[in-house]
Amino acid sequence: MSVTTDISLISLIIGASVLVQIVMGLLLLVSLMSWAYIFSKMVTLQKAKRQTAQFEDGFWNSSDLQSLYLRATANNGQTGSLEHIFESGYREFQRHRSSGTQDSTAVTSGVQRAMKATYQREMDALESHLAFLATVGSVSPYVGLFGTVWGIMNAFRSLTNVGQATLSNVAPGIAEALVTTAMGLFAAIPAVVAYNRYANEIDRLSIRFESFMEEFSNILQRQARFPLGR
Amino acid sequence: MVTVTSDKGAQWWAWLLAMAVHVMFALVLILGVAWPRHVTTPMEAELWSTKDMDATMTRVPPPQPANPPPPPKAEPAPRPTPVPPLLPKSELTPKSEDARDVDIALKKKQEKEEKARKQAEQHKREMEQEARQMKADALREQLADEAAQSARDEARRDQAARLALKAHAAQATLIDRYKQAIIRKIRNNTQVPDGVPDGVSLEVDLTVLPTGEVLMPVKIIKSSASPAYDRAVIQGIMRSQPLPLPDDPDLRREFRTTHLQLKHEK
Repeated sequence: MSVTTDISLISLIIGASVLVQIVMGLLLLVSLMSWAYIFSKMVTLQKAKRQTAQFEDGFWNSSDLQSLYLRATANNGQTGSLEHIFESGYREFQRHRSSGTQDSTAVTSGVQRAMKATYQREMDALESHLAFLATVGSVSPYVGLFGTVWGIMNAFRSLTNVGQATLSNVAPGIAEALVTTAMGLFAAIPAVVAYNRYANEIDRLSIRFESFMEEFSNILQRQARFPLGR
Repeated sequence: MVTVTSDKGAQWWAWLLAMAVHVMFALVLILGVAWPRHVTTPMEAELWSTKDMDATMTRVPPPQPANPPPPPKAEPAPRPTPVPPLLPKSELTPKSEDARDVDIALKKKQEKEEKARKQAEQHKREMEQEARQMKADALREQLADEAAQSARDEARRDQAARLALKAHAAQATLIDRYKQAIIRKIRNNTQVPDGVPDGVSLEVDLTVLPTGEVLMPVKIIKSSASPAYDRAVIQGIMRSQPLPLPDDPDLRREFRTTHLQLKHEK
């Protein structure tokens, strides 16, 4: 004679109470979403880094800003963030020159403002969904804990009618309840890791953008003063 | 016109990858982890006294009647000796001397022939019977051999079973004896306070380490209605460490969880 109690994972999930199951479903959904964002963000950031490196290469190796600008506007769809910044800055510069302004500080500040606006839009696009990862990372352990607490409350409440309270009376309930904590952690850990990694990568990209903006506005300022050559 | 990197949500392949990650993780959890199926397996001890068992064991099964030798074959009835053909009487009556002589000679000859034939027949019968006898003897011998063999086999099987049972019983009695010793020691170390009614009994489960030490929260299976007695017995258990345990590690394993019933008697 042996008491067989099957506590496989599936039976733990199926046997849980409704609220605990809702919590589990929520956590599963959140985990799926965060993994989807992790993968898509990974590819996006890789692409952004590659395009930035390519454009920096092309920019510092070419002496003709006009042809660079034409290339940037021509294949609009495949250009990266840095190219967009350059494009908006150079367009502003051309407008100033075509209007015949000679005040170089006005030209420079105008160009800088235009580039800053594009830079902020680009940063916003790069940082999209990062907030979601951060939220998942910080909140889903609590959600899991909530499910666990609820499950343990139920496990103990079922003890009230049992005279001899043994560990085996509460053990299945507690095991059931702890599954939600495990799921919460499972959702949170990759999200936190990904958030930290991507935030760091975006920071470095933004530093590259900003330094490029400074350098490019210097170049344009020189061009505004001496219209010939760089 | 300002071009900005579009801010799309996750692409479909990202969702697929996310699903794949979850499915993989679930598979690892379900297949890779040995989830416990049997939580508790209570210790089972079969107790029986050796005396009874020996009595039952020594009762030899009734001797199986070996195939009885075939009943002795009835001796074939001796064939009736053929009646000598009667001579025609007519020939005898009107008899001349010659004729009588011839007759006599003929008769004699006939008798002689008859005798020889009888002898030959007798001989043949004897030979036949002898052969039959020998065959029967051989058959009987073989049957007896087989019977003896099967009896020997059975005896050997019997012996093995008896030995196994005896060993089992010996182990059971050993366990019992050690349990008695443990109870005796605990009882010696227990100071039962006054006012505990006679005959109360306490059932505990002890988790005993191989060194004889008891893991301390002693599990009370059935409390005696007297908390004072429960306390006293648990004190006694504490004081009785190390418990007397057998030296044989196999036997000692049986004591990992020991169920004891302690009864208060004056």
